[in-house]
Amino acid sequence: MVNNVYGTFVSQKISKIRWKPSNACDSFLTGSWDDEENKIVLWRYTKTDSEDALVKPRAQCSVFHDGDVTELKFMDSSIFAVSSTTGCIKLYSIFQEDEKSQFKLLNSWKKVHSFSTGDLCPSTDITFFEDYIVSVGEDGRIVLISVKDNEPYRIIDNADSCSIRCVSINKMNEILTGNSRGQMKVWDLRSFSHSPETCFTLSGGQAGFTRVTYHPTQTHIKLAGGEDGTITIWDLRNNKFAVNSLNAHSQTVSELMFHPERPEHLFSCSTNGQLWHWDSSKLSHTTISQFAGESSDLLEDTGCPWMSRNVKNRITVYSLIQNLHLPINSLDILQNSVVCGCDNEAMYLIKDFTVS
Amino acid sequence: METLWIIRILKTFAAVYVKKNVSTLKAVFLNVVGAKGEDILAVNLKQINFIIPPYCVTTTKSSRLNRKFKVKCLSHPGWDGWTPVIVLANRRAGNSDGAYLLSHFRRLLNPCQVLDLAIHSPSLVIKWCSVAPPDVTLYVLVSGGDGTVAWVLNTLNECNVKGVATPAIGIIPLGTGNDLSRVLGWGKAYNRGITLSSYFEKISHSSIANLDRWRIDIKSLSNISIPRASSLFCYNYFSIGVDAKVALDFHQTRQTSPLYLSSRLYNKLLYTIFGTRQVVVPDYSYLQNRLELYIDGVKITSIPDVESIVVVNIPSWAAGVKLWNQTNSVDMSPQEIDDGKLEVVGLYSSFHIAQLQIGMSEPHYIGQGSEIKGIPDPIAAATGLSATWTSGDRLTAFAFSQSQNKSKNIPVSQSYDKSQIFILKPDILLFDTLLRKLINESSGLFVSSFSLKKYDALDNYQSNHLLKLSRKYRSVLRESIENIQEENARCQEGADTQRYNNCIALLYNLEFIWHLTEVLYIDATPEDVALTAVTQWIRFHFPESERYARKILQTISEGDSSSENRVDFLNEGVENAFPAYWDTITGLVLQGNLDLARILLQLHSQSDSDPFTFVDKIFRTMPVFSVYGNVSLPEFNLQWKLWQTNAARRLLGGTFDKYPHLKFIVQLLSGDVNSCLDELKKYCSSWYQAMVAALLYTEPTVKFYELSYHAHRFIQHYGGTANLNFCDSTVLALFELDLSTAVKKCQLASDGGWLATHLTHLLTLSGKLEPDSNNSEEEQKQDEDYQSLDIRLILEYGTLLMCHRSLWQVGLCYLDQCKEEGRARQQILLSQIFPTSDSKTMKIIQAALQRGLLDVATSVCKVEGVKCLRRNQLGKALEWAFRSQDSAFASHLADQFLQHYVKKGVFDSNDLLDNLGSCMLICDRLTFLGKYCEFRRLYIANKLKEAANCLNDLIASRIAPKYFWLTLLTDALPLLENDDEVPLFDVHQTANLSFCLNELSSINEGCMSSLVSPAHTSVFEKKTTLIRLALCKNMARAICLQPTVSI
Repeated sequence: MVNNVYGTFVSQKISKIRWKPSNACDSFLTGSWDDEENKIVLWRYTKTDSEDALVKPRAQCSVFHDGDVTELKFMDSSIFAVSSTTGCIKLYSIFQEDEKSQFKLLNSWKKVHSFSTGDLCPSTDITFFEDYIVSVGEDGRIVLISVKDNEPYRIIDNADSCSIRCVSINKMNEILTGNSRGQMKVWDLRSFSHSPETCFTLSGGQAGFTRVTYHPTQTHIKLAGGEDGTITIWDLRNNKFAVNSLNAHSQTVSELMFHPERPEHLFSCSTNGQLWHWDSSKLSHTTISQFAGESSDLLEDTGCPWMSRNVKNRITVYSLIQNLHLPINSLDILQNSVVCGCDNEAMYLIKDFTVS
Repeated sequence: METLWIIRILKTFAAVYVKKNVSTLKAVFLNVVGAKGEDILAVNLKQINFIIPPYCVTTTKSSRLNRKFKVKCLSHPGWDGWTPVIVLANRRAGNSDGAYLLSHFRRLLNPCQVLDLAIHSPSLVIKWCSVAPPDVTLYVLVSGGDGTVAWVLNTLNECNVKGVATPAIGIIPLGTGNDLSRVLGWGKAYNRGITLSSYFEKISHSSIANLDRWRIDIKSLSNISIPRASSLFCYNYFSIGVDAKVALDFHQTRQTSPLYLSSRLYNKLLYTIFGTRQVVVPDYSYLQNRLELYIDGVKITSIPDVESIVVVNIPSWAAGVKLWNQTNSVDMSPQEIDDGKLEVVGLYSSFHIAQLQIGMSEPHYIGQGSEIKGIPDPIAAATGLSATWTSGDRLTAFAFSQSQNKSKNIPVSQSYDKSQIFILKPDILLFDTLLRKLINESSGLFVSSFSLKKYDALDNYQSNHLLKLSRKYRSVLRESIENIQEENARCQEGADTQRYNNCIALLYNLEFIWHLTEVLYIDATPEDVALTAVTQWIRFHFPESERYARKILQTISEGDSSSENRVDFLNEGVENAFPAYWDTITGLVLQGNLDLARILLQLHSQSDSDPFTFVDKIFRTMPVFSVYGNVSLPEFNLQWKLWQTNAARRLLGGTFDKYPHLKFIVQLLSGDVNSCLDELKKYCSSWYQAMVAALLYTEPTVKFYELSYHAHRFIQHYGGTANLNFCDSTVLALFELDLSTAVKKCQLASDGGWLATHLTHLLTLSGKLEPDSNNSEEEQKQDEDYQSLDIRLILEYGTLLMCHRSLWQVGLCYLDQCKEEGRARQQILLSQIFPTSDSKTMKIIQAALQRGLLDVATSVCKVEGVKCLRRNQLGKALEWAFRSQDSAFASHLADQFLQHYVKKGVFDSNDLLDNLGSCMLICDRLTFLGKYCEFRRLYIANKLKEAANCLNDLIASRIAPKYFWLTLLTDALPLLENDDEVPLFDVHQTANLSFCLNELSSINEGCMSSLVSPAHTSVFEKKTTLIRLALCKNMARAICLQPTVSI
């Protein structure tokens, strides 16, 4: 437990929180959910006279958003896309005008996802793929949108008979989707086939996936967070079964993220109000660099701590925040600052914890 | 689409106003109870002025049988003070009281003066008026309820049109409410004990007053024409929302069965029953969102959560409730029946109405004015409105009219093209985004407070923790205030200033009360230094003097650097440089802050003079009592007496005559509060400030329990208990050590119950709050479901939050603490939350499962499943069926899959069906489907032998539905015709297949004649023939290879 946790109440439940990519951890975006009028807000830690300004963010600008914000993703340091439960995707840019930040709507795509009855269908996750946005939704559809066009570039209907919950880039031209039945599918975006390249299932298929992420340096290693709080580790080169399955949180894993520059650190948060820092650096720092890119057999034995048989012994888990009584919905990490957004309408900044 | 309501004063209207001091005369008259003859005699003597002598009037009867008559002319009998009375009564009204009145008045008066409303219309009165001599005032005595009176008044209104002098109206109250009668002094109800002639006595001692008459115009703002152009007249009151009558019914039921009404939810439920039973002309509840209220052209914006807006003209509502009690306010005038003004008040809830009826509470005063506007629905305006509770705090209102001709059993059909349904919800100040921080942060503290319960003994450790908790709550309040102020400062457009100020005022009051409670109850202060604690509280909340004193000192010390300024100050005297110098010193003294006052006094230009040095000395020498000091209480009292006598002596000596401010201070110090009370009142805006100031110098060792006495004393000085506002009365209750009253008062704060809930909870934890005094202990024992006050409040608050779209999770945390009742509410409210996305659904399910509410989780899943089915998402529907473990639904879905396959030959959701795993065991049909998919996989993978075995199992186990048999057999066809040396089906299996085929054929023949189309039959025939052929071939081959088999 670290003491440098700074909470700010914002009067809206936060569904997504994202650092604005920059050299200094000074501004981030939040998206709210489940309110009459949901908002996307840009926050900034401004340097003023008072001491607490550096830990107390100020709202720079905000924009109303139809439906709940389901995902926020930055394309580069100023352009970001946001998806909604109304099935709409919007692309904004942040620009400076007279010392003030402003949002500018670059493009928006309505009803990217929809039900046959005309009901609104939520888009559950988006990811950037070169100049394209890949969006997945509860209607089991994958939509590929070119940032420049008004019409979707490609639609894969019935990609899944259940809801697709999450999407992630696999490797060049390939994406990975996870659904609510605990199945992962790999899709090749170049091929025009309407069926996945591969499909693999968590044994039992009882609990769905909520998040899927990949190891920043060894992209074939995928981590998936489940509804039941487990984190499963997959090696896509050997795709039939999960390599490891960790009983991590006691409830749904709501976000799962590697530190972008220091992949030996993983962060996860859950709906029972836990925010964990998984540190594998102490035991595996040397071995990783040694075996990176070498044959898989070696890796499986000694290399990546996530792949090793006794994974629990090789990773130290810290709780970054006192357990909250309401879900933590989202987290993001930049350098040595973690922000997380919760259902108690607060966001927390955790500064300067040890990332060696 | 909106209708405008305008109520505009038309003119004043005559009505009889009876003065109330007639009781002595009435008593005399009541004693004369004798023979009828005497009665009549007395009337003849005394009431001659009210009778129309037979020779003065000419009437014509229309026929002999009909009792109707017409008045032709009326002449003056010739004596002074003749004021004839016309009595109107309905013989069918009021338990035959009407008939009684008619017959008795006919005995007392000229029968033509007594009109039966069952026969005559009130317009006959107009006729009387028109024929009456011009200098004569006609009295009309109407017996009936407010409705009858209004009817008569409306008719009489035509008098003015015709240019006839209006008669004066008196009332014999026969109705249920009789509000108009109460106001005019005619009593609250008629009883037969009263001699009728006493009414004449009353009239002769009456004076004539004017009664405002209001017209309610219902106009359409839209282009849709309203079937009925409406214009109503109103004399007493009308309400938009909860009708007064409904409220009355409700209250009566409440009184008869109070057991069911302990919770708000039940109240609401009951209310709905009454609300829907009563067909009221426009009835809107929870209407501040739907209604724009203008009073005299000014839009009223800050209407809190009200269920009803009542517009009252007379000071009596719903059987004698005096709604307008606002007498101390400056901008509101007392209510008069003839001031040309309507008073508008809001009622928060049904419970509030009940409280009003027993005089426990006050309505929300909205304003006073002569024009009120609102914007409801046009159709509702034409037909009436009804409303019903939907989920939580939502009220669904719709235009609704009940058939009026019930006796004829003819339905009245009213169809409108654009009827609308309104969903109304209360606008609760607490849900303002500015205050949401308060809700959330305090919920965190609330949850954490439950860990405190583990320490059962009330030891020091626990009370320390409680104090910490209390301070945390207060700091949350403080922080919220600061945040809002900051926000307010930042957006200076000023548009929202009102809103910000409202929030700040609310929070400030909450903190004020909380602080006092903390000081008095939670902080373990020893008895003898009660005053120290209370003084701290006063200083904290009225820091102006101290702040100003610091400002003076700071200015002077800044002046130090530039020595010229300092010289200026010293020359001029600080008292001249700062206009508020003396006010500040006095303020400091009143708060017992003598040290700072001394420093300021030393800055005075005359500080070296005798009076100043003396004051300085008494300030310095004032004895201070400390529990931990080594001075005993009697010893201290002695010291105190000495000190005060010393001060008083100098006062008498006239040392301070030159300095009135100093004189006042020394007067106060010497304990002579009574002589300088007026001065004191000037400095103290509230009674508690004055009280603390006076106690500081009269009774420095006052005990907690003595505070109540002093509080009452000072309230008297400040206008008595009648003038206390919400905050004052709560403070009083706290001083009175009457926590349950204080909590009740807290409930009336417009914070949605935040204060009451959290404060009560804290007090219960500290063991300070006694169980509800209304329920005796025996009662509590009998009633096992008895909930302590804090639990009830938490329930309320939790329910309120759960009804909010976004705060339901917080609400759940509160309801968690309320045991069974909380669970029951969670169950109801959780399943009513509308899921907008899968992730929200999952959160609801998780919340339900966490609390063991399995059925809620199941029902949410089922609802989602059916939604998916409607959208034709079979796969997802099946997923929800798994989650809810609903085998019937899963069977249905499996059937859908199979039937789709029979038609199209492919499955929709291969990805799901191929990976069913253990889920397929949920029902037979799904097991079959899973197995069939397995067969198809085997077949496609060309594992023919396994496929054949699998298919045989499927057929032999008989779990396949009948409509699928043919498909199964057709699937067998390529396997049967396989050219391998060894046939894929052995003898037994082939026999199985043929048995199956035979059964299918026989079934088909059975229903072939009528049900199946010929085309279908021929296809069926063709297929069966092929299969039969293949079976025969296969059987032959199998027998050849397996000769030993015995069939």
